[in-house]
Amino acid sequence: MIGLLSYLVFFAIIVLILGVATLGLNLQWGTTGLFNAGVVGFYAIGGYAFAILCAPPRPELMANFGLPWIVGIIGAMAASALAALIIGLLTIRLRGDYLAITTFGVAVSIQLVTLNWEALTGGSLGLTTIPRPAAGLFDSSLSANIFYLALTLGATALVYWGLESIIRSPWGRVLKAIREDETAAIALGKDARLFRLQSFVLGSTIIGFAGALYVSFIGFVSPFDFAPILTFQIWTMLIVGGSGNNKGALLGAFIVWGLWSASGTFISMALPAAYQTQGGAVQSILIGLVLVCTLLFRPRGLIGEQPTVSRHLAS
Amino acid sequence: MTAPLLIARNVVAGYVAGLPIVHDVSCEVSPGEIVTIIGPNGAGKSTFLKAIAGLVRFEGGSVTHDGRDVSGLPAHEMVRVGVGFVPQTGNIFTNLSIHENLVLGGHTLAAQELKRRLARAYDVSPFLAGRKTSLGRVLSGGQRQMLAVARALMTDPKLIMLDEPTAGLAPKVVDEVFADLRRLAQSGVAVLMVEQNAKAALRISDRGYVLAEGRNRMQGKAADLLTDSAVGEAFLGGRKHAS
Amino acid sequence: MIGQAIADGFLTGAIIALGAIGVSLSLQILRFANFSHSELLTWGAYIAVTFVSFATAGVSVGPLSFGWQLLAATAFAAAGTALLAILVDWLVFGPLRNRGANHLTLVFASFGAALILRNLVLLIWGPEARYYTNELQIAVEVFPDVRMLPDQIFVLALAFAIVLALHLFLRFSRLGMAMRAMAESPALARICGVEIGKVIRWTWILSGALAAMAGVFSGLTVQLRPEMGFNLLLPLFTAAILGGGGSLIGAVIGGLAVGLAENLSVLVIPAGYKAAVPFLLLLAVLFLRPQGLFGAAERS
Repeated sequence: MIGLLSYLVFFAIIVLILGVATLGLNLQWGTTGLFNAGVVGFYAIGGYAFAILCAPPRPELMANFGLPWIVGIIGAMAASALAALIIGLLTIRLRGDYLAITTFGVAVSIQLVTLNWEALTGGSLGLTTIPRPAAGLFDSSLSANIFYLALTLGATALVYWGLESIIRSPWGRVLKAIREDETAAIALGKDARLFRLQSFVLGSTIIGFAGALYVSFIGFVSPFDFAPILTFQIWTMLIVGGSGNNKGALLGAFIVWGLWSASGTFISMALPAAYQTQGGAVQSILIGLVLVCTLLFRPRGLIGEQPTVSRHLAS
Repeated sequence: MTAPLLIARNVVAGYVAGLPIVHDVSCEVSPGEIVTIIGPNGAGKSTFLKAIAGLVRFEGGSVTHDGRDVSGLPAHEMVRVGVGFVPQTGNIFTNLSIHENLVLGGHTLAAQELKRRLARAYDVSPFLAGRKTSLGRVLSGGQRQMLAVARALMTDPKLIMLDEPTAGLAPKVVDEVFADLRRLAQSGVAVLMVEQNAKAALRISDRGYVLAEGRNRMQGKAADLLTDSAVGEAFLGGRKHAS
Repeated sequence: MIGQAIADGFLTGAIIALGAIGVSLSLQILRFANFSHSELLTWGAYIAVTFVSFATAGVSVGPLSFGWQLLAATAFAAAGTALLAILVDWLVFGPLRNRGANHLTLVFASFGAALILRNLVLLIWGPEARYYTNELQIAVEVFPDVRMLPDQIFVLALAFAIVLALHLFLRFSRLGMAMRAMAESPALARICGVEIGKVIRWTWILSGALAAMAGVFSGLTVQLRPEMGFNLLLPLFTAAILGGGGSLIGAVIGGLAVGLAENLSVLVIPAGYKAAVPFLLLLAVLFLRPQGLFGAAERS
């Protein structure tokens, strides 16, 4: 029972963290129509910034400041925001697939930096013994995890509530107007580029926040945690749940991560150890199938966007 | 009067399913006849031509051409049944040479036949013959129109449809285009065009249709429409280059 | 040093160019950024390795490490990959296109297709690196201080022959003209009687076959790994965009530019960052000349 409970707590924490990242992506794509194909890059920046700020010092590393948890979280968000601002300034005027290709390149480059800048990131070995908040207060790992679950639940609720109010604000309505018809929005005197940039930075900050939550939970970070497939997983979560809808983003995170974990568990039980790589391949194929089938058979996702946009445009 | 070549009955068409722009339009064109469709902007004139050409959603009504039902036939089939179409914008391939434009005009022909028709096109137009390798994008508006018509004629269509063939052209060039169309009709081709330049177009036409809000409003001999006071007030006064 | 980097750059560039032509064709004719294109390279390389495992790479001809069997394997892989590309279009992209889906939906679908295709390679052929032959070769000095393996010289020459043939095809054949026509205006092409479905099919056949050849050449000069194509994705896109999306020559020069930039970069930056060079080049192009080096028309 304890085993199952531990597993469920672990599972719920990961779902919530990925859900936060999906919410960030939903602001960019679902609300603003920005095609960020480098989600994992911003997730990695948040994760690494947190690790570098909070991990205990080690002589061979230049950073590792051992700062308090909350400083790490704020720093992680600031780092993702800054990176998004720089990248956004360079790329925000690009359209659709060109923005996708460029942000994909961003993610590739960031992974290279994490792999190669050993003095900062620990290279392929990564950074270890990254602290969790209030870790000393608990005597069992289960209670520590339950505490962390409560923390991520609070964080998710905060992000969800914040995004919902933002989307309903005049600012959010401008974003949707730009997504629907940029020319018309410009004609109304809105500087579309500035709004797109703001949305890109805010979305990436949220994704970076998720990265920090993840690293803080796992206690360890390496370049291999930020493989490109994570970008596609998070996109699948958004599309399966229904882009443009924050509830959909969270539901998608739950379903896709559930499918990923369940298939992983099944494969690790069913296949001998020698075939585990192939088992991982099956997991990825499943994600690909879910994505393609959703696009083909249920293009708006499980719970799509409420059609409020045209009314705004008409008014 | 010979039997009509093209008979369109109660055509309904548009770009988005369930949102037709053409609600109910009928029209006939006979061999050797020039028929012009006029009407205010947004009347659905262009969309009607595109519906016959198979370029937009055909949602209702019927079109027969040369006795054959061609309702909703896709565009690449229409050229094979003998309907040529010269759209208003993007009427030539600007990244392709004049020669390549003509070859594409004859895309449905066998190699030998294509060769003969190319030779014929160059005979008719020394201008095109002299600039075979020039890219479409260097041509002027009038030259583009000339190339577009030559391209459409490569397959010897029985009916040629033109969407605002004189839009944006200098008055002298407009006269040349209309003279060419007149000659074309005399050779037995049926000509159906949409024009903003309504007066000039009706002067060279045999018959005309007036469309408004996606429906037939009036029709008759071109000469009658020109003198009809209602048409004159609504569509012929000072609307030369409304688009 | 520089001479050697240039020679290596040409080789990588030629392989990237073959792949980039397909990316460019799909940007122009199919009108979407196909993130699964790079997986066609992988599939081509692995189909060829399967063929070779039955037929062997053949008795070495002259200084080359392989014989005619590898060429047969390449042709077989080109055909197989072209079929695979058509199959994916039939299952995934075609239905979306017919539904009139937004072109970005096709890009999402290509994410999914890429995941499936890449992991099928892993599933079928396993994660280990593979080689077409185990023959050792001796590098020859082609210029003073510039050494290349005979296989590499062969690949370079063959790649240029393929590009030339493709150029002639697109320039002079009626199908090639129809493809260029459709790249500019699908509506006008249809009016001329061009069957869109046929052009789309041929676009997949060409890009699939070229991708397979790029994959085989990459496998021959480096090695085969399930992620070999994926690692080339960014260079392929960069080359296609650098070349302006439209023209074949543009994609080829874009490919060479990427190959040269990657290899020359090693002289000034740590080798670990080599893979980021295409991205920097891409940023520079998109920032300075969004229409690409050779693009004239604006992309909507």
